[in-house]
Amino acid sequence: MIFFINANMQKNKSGIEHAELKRADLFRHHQTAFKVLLRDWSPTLHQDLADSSLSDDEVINLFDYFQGTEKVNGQVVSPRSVDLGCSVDFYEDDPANNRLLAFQRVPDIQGGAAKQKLLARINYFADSKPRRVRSTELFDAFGNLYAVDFYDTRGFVSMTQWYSPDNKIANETWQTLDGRPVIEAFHKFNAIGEQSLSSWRLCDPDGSIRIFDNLDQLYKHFLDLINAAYFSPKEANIFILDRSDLGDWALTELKQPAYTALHLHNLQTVNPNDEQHALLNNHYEYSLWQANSYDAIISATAKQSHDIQARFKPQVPCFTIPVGVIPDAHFQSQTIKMAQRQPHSVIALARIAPEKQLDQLVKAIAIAQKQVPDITLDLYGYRDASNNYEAYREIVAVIKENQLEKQVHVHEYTTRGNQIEQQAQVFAVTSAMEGFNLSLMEGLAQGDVGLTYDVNYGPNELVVDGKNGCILPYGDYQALAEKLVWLFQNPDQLQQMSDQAYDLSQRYSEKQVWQAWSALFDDAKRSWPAKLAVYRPAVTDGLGEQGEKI
Amino acid sequence: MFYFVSENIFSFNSGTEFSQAKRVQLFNAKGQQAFYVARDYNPSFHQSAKQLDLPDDQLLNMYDYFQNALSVTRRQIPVRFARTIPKRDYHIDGIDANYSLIKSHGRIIARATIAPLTVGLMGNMIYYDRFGNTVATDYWDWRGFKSSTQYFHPDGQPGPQIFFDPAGRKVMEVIRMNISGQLFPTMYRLFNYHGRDWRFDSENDLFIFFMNEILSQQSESSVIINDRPSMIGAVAHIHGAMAKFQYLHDGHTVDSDNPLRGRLSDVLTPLFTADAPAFTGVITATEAQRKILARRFPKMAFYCAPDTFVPQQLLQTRPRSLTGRRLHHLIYFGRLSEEKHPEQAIYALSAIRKKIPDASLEFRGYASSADFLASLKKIVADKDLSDAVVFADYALGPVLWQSLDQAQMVIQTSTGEGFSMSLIEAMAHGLPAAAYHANFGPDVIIQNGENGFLVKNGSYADLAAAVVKVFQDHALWQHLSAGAYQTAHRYDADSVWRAWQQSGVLSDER
Repeated sequence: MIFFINANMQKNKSGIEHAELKRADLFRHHQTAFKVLLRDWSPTLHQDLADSSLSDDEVINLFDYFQGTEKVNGQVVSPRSVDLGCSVDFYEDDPANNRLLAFQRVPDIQGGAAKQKLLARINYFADSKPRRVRSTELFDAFGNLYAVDFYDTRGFVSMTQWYSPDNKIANETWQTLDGRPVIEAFHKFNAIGEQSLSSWRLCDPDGSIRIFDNLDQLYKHFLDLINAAYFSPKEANIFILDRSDLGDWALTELKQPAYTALHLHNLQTVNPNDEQHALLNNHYEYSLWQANSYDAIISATAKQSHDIQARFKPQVPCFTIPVGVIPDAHFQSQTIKMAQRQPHSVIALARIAPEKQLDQLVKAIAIAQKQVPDITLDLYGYRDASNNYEAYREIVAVIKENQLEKQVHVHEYTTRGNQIEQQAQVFAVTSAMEGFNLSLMEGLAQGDVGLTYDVNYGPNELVVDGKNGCILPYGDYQALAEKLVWLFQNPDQLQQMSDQAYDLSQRYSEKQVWQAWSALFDDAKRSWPAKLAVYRPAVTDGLGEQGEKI
Repeated sequence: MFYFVSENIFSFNSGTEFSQAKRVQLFNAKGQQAFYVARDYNPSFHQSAKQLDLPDDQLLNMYDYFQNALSVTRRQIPVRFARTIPKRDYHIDGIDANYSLIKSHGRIIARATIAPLTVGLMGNMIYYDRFGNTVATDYWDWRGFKSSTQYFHPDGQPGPQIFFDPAGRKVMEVIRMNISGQLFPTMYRLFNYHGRDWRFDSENDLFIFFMNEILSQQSESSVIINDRPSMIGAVAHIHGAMAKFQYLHDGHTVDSDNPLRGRLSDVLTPLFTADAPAFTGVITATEAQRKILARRFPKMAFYCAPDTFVPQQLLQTRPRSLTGRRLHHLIYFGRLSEEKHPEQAIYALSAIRKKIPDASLEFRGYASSADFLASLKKIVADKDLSDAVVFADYALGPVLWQSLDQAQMVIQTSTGEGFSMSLIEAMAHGLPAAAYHANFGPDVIIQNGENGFLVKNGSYADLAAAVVKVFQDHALWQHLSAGAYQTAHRYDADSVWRAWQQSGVLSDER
């Protein structure tokens, strides 16, 4: 079995999740089984999965695994159907806070007016129609909030947070459908009196109970169980580490042999222009020191593979496997000529984040606009909140400064990328660095002409200078502006490059990418007998109560 | 159907539990189905019940009921072979007969406590975080299943507790939070009981619900006899019983010498005031107490029925003469608690030894507190009696019987009693008794010069004199011992059952 290691498959996906989804599509298309192993608890996971191309069967979430909730027939729990253990005398709707308050009337012993006692605050998912319960804040008869039950979107209590008398979270428990806690997390004081999450306890449904200091250790145990469950002498389990912080040490310490691959989704250093000497990217530092402890290192571009080999000289193979895959069906569809698109249109699909430097793109537009007055720029992407939306604020400032309100539009993240790319002429990238840039690959595949700074990794490989676009000196938005003007003033050149953009996309066809994966599978196959030869399974004979086999 | 109600069965029981347990046995032996009902959670409940010879089908523990564990075949889970402890990952470091430490890579992650009175069987598992905080304790039922998990608040006080059925499903929860700044159990929750969840604000509220459920499932008419004064309020609120009684195992006033006008003991006050209408009547062990109560509370009904019986097995054993016994050896037998004044037995011994220098005293019973036991030991040391006084362990059955068979006399120093069951039990072993003439019981059991001596309440000098008289006169001892055996025979099962039948408690025409 092939496993992809990740934390979550949330609604707002980053490049890593998109890469996994594309890989999943490719594997599925080639009848190659895989499972995405997710570490984090998410009550909306299965709703998010339903909205993605993954099926429940293709994902094993750590919490689901122990809770026995990998497959659950969903039901809608409506706020008024929550069983609070007693009759509710009246409800008070509080739609502004997406909640319903449940009360009991308590007769006054002195004969005065009845008092009302809050039983629970029943919170529902903000956008749910009909309303579905998200959580219940539960109160005892003495007014203490003693627990909050969190519901999975499939309609069962998945997790409970237990409160201390001083109204802090004391313990958290994750339970089976019949309420048995299987995973517990404890918030305790340390030796200097600070409260923190000090311990996890796993009450495995098999009856064994284990203590872990942190979720990483629990995830390691989970990986061992998964590796054991799918272990076969015929074939190595392949673990692809898509987020190094989730298993960079765990994969090197698995109890049973497996084939492990470190997948780089980003630059390995902090300086994209000095890959041979710069300080290592914090995310990859440990795994690069451990590089020889894995079986393979995967990069999305040949350039990155080359840099890794040149600098670290790992004794394990480096595979170049694009993280983007252009489905076969795409190559059958009609190409769209530049003349049929919105004239002089530039787009960028990227997070509105500082490292994307989109303000420089807007500056380039300001310059180009002087010679191409009808030039437009449309930006699509999540707004990064860091430093109070600094990146977004800077873009807006440049627009204002140059009075580009008519030409430049900043949109939200879009799921209509393909349509937008089909209507645009130029796809521009001004990032300081990239791990690959799936959006650029897709834009080129839709015939957009690519313009990018010369940055690692991805843009300067996806764009082949002078063929499907142009590579410009890093940070030179003046040159970018000149290139835009040149392209829009030379429609033949523009069309030629667009044609090449379509053609060069073949580099990322299913066939090409599958071949790259096959090389890794072959390596796993080749190295497996040697791994098996030195593996001694654990003793099972003679360990039972009467000396029997266990 | 009879339900005899109390809190629990302990590893060290008081007379109340013994009396209740014996009554359960007597009624069942006489064809009247009766249950020992207990409110409290106790993972060793069935072990303790077994020590009192109570079979599972005569037990009704509230937690058992909601945990679907009224009748579970016992499985012995040795700590060393418990699935709970994955031995491929952890070391089990046996420290002593009481516990083992569970270690992971050298760090203690848990402590396995051995179930009491077992060899190496799972009792409870206490789990620790890396700072040594206890994060959870799993309690294992003596019958071999994980019965509950106790969590803790960050300050170390007990927090929520989750209860499981033998199949591991969550069935109950107890929440512990603050009421006016102090930690209490503030909620009892039942899950999926009869298809829905339930919540109760106190354990007694849950108990009332529990008993109402039991009674509503019962087609026969039901009679409840409450044995524990602390549960009067709860029993008062139970619906559906044909009759409800309170059995008094003790005197009813603070000053036992003033039962007619003295202040009622606090715990019994509700029985005679607010809760009185809820009870059909009150049962006393002695006619004397019954009469006084009837005078004091003319509107209430009072009954008298015996507190105990002597098992046939004991009555059939051959009387033991003085030859098999340890001469001049006294036994004090019962709980060592303040109100029973065991210190006065030491004072009496001191006086006795002036005449009979080799007189000795054996305390047989558990102490109400370690402090109190220490205070008794200090008196013994101060009086230079360390060689003459032994504090023996609480014992039941053969161990206790052997002890009683070897003594020469039983001494009792209570200044107030409900009956004095221990005197009957001692007499079943041929022991003459020396006791204070206190309310209620001793004068029903002891006939001066026939099976022992009653002396002025509180006068240990008189007590000592009576003992000296018996110790100095073997013929007298022989006469009293024979009388003691005879007295015990008056409390054989048949006689006691007849007394119950004639008491009016069982009769329908109350």
